[in-house]
Amino acid sequence: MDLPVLHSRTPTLNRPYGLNRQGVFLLILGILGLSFGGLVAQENRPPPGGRLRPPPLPREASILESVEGRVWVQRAFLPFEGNLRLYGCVVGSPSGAHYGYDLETGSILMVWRGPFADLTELWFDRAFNQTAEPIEGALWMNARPLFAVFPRRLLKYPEGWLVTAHPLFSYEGYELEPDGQPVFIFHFERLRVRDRIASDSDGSGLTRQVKFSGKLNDWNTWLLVAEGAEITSSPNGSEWVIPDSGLRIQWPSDSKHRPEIRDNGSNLQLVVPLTKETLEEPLEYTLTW
Amino acid sequence: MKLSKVKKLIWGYQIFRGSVGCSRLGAWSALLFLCLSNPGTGQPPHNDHFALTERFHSESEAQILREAQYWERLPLPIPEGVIPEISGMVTIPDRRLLVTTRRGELWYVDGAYEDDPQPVFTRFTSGLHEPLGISQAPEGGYYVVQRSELTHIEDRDGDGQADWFRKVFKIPVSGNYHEFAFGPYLTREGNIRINLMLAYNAAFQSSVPWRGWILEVTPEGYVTPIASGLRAGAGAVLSSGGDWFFTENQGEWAGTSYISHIEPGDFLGHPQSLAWSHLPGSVTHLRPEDIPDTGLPLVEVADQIPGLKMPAVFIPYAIHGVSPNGIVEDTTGGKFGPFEGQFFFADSGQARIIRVSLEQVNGVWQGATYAFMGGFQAPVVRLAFGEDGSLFVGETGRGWGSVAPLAEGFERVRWKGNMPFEIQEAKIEPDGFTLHFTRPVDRKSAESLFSYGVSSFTYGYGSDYGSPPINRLSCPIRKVVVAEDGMSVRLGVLCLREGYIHEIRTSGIRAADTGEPLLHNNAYYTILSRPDGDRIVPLEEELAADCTPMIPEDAYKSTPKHPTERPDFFSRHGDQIIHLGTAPGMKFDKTLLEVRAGSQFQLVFRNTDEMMHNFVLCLPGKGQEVGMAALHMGIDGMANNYVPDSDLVLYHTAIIQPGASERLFLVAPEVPGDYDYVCTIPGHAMVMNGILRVLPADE
Ligand SMILES: [Cu+2]
Repeated sequence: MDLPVLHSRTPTLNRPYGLNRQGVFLLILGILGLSFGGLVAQENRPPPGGRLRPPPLPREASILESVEGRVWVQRAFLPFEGNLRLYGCVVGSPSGAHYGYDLETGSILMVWRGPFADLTELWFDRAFNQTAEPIEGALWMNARPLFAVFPRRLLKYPEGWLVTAHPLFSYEGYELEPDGQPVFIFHFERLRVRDRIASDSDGSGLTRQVKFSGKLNDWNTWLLVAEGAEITSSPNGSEWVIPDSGLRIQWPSDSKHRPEIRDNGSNLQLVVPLTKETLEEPLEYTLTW
Repeated sequence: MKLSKVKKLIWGYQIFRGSVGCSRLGAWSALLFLCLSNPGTGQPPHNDHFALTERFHSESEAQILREAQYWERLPLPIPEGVIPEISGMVTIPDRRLLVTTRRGELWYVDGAYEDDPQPVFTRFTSGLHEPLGISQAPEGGYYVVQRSELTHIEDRDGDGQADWFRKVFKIPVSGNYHEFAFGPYLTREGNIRINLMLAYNAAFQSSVPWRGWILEVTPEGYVTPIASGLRAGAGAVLSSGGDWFFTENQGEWAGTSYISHIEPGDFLGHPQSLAWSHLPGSVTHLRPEDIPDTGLPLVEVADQIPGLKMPAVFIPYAIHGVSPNGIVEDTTGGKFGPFEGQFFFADSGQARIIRVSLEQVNGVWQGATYAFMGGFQAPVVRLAFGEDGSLFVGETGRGWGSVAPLAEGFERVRWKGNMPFEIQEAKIEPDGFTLHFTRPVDRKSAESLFSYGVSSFTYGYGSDYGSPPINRLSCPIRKVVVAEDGMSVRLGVLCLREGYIHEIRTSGIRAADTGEPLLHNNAYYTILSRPDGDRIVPLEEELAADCTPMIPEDAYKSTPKHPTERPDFFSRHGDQIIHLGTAPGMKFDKTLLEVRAGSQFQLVFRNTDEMMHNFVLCLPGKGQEVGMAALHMGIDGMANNYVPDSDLVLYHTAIIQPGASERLFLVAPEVPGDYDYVCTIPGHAMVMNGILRVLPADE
């Protein structure tokens, strides 16, 4: 099934809570070679006797949070495409641009402005959903991982759920700058990556800076920036636009990293190849919407 | 309602279980009806002298006041802006604590040790996903268990704020709210144990690997499974002697709450976890289909299933709590009172702390529970001893019921230094028990056989939610020997059974100096093994004893107050059919029902929650009184549906299992008014209640 890859919508509110995570669950444990399990298939259906979500909460019980002073990283399950991202967080900035981040893929799940997050399903009563959600008007991104390797250039970009099990990707942790701004750290094979996504001071957009250390692997390594049925660019290559969603990507004109458009079958993708020459330089771009 | 009224119900009933040909639910329901149809006429069984008076162990106001003479409860004031849903605590040097809250915050607490504490809370970090525990990491920083991650948190630049959050282990989750992760419990080697609870979707499930297991994780993230069979156990402790103990909550496959000694390879009872026993690393060969769902006493099933672990201590349900959480060992060297080396666990439902003594007999850990202290302001879940020997108590019950007035809080308990008159410890003997006391006993009272009573019971093992106490038996006391110094009493008792709780009643004992009774009567000792040694009752006498349980009263299915059969006068459907259900968080789904005075109606009560509930219709304004009376029914509560024998009760259902329902054929009261209905399962009535509005007949 081809889903629109970038689209704006309100959070799903009618999903049964506690739905089992679909897809593939790969438990990779152990750097010493102690590896449990392998592939454990989970059937994609609700559990037997799964209940409907409880009735909606009275409005006065809602827990709506804004951000003051420090950047706020809130770990939670994140609703996405009618399912849950189980290892994620929302990051709220007092400057006004916020995003949801998937620690299993390094991907930005959604971006929004205004009030920060609805934490009712995280903090009210038993918190059956355990989710943090944008209060309104989020732009929902695709769920594909930030990184991919292609032994051959023509292969399709991996789909989201498969990627959670991508053995090359491993989340290490995050550090906080003095104002609470997180820098997510993960490994992609032998590459150590620092991913910093911060609100611009006026809240107009998010600037992402990705720093690399370690070594490139032998295959071609790509970063996915954006995806859409159509992608247009300004003549000098300093701005890319996804008309479907209105997402705009500002690209520094002096950057050594040069994005390319590749055809993923049903969609176009803005991707950046990593090379030994460009690895030294942080990759940086700004998202506005 | 007067206590004496309840007491009439209490003398030793007997329950048998597993009647041939009954469906599981049928067998259960039948059991629930095995209460005394005519409680006033029976005679207590022989030798059960104090059965009438000594089963009430929920804390009364008077009892709480007595406890307060010895241990002082200091609620810690909470500053504005702090929501103290305390889910984890670690005491750190310089009289400080670091606490986690369910809202994902970590707070340093200063000033909590003062005589008149005015604690100062300083935020260390925020934004975690429901952390439920914290330990100091030997290499610096802290380990915190979040819902989906074991995290090492550090303040690397030393500015007092956390700035580094390293994933130690990604905890498998399916996304279900009930997948609690408890820990981190540090091992002596510097590894970290975490206990992963099952998901709940109409039934408990292990949807992803290692849910329902105890895992041991190295600081680098390597994992070794330790034990399986967990359900919803919220506490564990590594003893000073190096043994692991784990507290589990009553429910499916846990006839009552318990404390287990954990050794690698143990299977603790919930078969869902065995879905992963085929994975590399598993420490058990048991498969889910190996576990029979019979409801037979756990000890009998455990005899057949190698690896199925008997609890070290059965916690008598409703008597010593309903939902054990954190457990700690008293390592204060006597600063907290006369119980050094014993354990205390927090019970959230009853908002109290229960004491536990453990001893090793023939290599097997077993022991007893004792009431310790009640009356906490909020559901107690976490305990930690401070450096001055006082006990910090973290409290949160959001979404879960409790008898306590507040939903969350933070308290501290301090021993005042004067010696209470308590059973210091009950220990097993080859032919009975020795009770050690904290002060000398009055010889005359202690030498009387009539000062004591012993009876035993156990719990069934199966998929039903909880078990009533079954196979109850009075144990004749043959001999009492009081020690020279009056500090201990040895009881020679017949009919002891392995795998059973022995309720040791002590209401006749008085203190030598003041003549006062014990601060807390009764110990509940779970015998798994009996030692060899000197006897005070000859073996021949024990072998000759008649230990046949009493024949149970006939089961009854329908009574005037529990009319499950359609009365003859009832019109086909009655005037209306009212459907009442449950809502998450211990609630009825409707809090206002309306009927006409004198009308006939059917009430269908369906329990869609994951715990047991009932429906008890009471006189106007009397719901809470009935709820309190039910709380005092002790071990007999479950056999009587937790319905007190009271004129305040008009109608009631049986205890309804999760997923089950019951239909009552009722006639509305003739007097219009707002009649209370409550669930009287201990701890529920305060939150689980509603109004049946009886309207005038003619309007
Ligand atoms: Cu209830």
